[in-house]
Amino acid sequence: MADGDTPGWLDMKRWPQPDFLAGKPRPPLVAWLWAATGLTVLGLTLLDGLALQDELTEQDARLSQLSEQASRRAPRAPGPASASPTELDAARAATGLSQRLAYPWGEVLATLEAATPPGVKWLSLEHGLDQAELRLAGQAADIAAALRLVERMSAQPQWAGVVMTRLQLPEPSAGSDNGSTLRFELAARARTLAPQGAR
Amino acid sequence: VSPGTLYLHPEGVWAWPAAARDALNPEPDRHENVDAWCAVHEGCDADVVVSGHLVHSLLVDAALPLGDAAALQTYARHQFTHYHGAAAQDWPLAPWSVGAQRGACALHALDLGAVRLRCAAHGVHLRSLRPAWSVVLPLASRQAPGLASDASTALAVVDGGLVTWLRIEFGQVRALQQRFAASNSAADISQLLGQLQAESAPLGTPPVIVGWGVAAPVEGSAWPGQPLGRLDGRAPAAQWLMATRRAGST
Repeated sequence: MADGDTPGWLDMKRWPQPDFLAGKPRPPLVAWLWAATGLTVLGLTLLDGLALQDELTEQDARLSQLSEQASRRAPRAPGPASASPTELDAARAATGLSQRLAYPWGEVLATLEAATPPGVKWLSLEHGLDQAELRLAGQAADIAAALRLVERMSAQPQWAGVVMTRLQLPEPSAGSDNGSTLRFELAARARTLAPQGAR
Repeated sequence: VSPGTLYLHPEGVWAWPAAARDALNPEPDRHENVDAWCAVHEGCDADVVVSGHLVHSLLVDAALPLGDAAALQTYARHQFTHYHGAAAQDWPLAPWSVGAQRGACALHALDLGAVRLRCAAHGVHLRSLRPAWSVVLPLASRQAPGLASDASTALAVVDGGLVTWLRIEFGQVRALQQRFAASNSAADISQLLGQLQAESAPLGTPPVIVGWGVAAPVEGSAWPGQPLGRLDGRAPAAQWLMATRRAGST
């Protein structure tokens, strides 16, 4: 085929072309474009990052400012001074209720029962806001039983100021079977566990 | 700016100005080193050709399964390190491939980093830095078309006492050797060339001989091949290092 007349030497590419400057392959245009894009993105990201950093610092400052303000207001916030009268009543009622619930009623009733002599029946127990002040109503078979009750309660250390406030003698015209019972009311101050009892 | 051509040899730097391309037989200027040339050619472009004395060259077996340029580079690095020791780890490499033919050159006696630095300092733009044989081969093939033909032949690039022997078949490099003659005398080089030819597979056409630095007298030597031009120039003839008008426009 080719007999040597073919000017093969025109095609320089057919011969080895070692080049020490091309040892690291020369980056094509695309590589430079990529590099430029990469650098641009990097730059923008950096700027974004700096902006975010600034924002973060600003937010931090705001946060500390706000928490400072909050701590200055904090002592007044939960205080009753700032609450409206309605809120105050509600708070008071709630406090009272929780105090009543916390009162050791079981102990009070047990003491009362221990002091109750035979022939005495209890009808009601009332207390005021001050739980230590009790108003008790009951029935007794006779005056002696009622007095014995007062006497026993007064003897117990858990009671103070036991006073018969009312004694209603049975009326002869009342019911036949209850004819012999009398109603009484007494006031007493329990000093079982309540600190108020010391007053 | 038109590029100048520099030939780097252990004994100095020869340089042809850009205008040499238009001259018939331009004579090169000699400079002590690259820095000296750069100092008087600020801002120029430069094509650098390095002497075989500064380079080791390797041809890779075409059957080796080296997938890509990186594999070729790694293989070449391994080979150079195997034959020349740990120093080869840092040599600049110039791998090449043409079709199935692959090879690599290693710059073992030139501080490429320093050359780059000196050039940069003078605003000189290095366009290429190539081993002499790879520059001579295509230019010689213009004058000896047998090198590019289907015939099996060889090109001997004689650089003083060093011969770079390239066996060419079907216009492809099939073997590459660098051998030192006993001296740069015509007789010793002639003897080495005969030896190389004897060691090669039989050649269809006699080897082509291109060279410089051969000690005079050269005349009367029985060269085992076809010398192209004179061989006793102190530096390569410009026609072997650059596409001059005379050689390139015919």
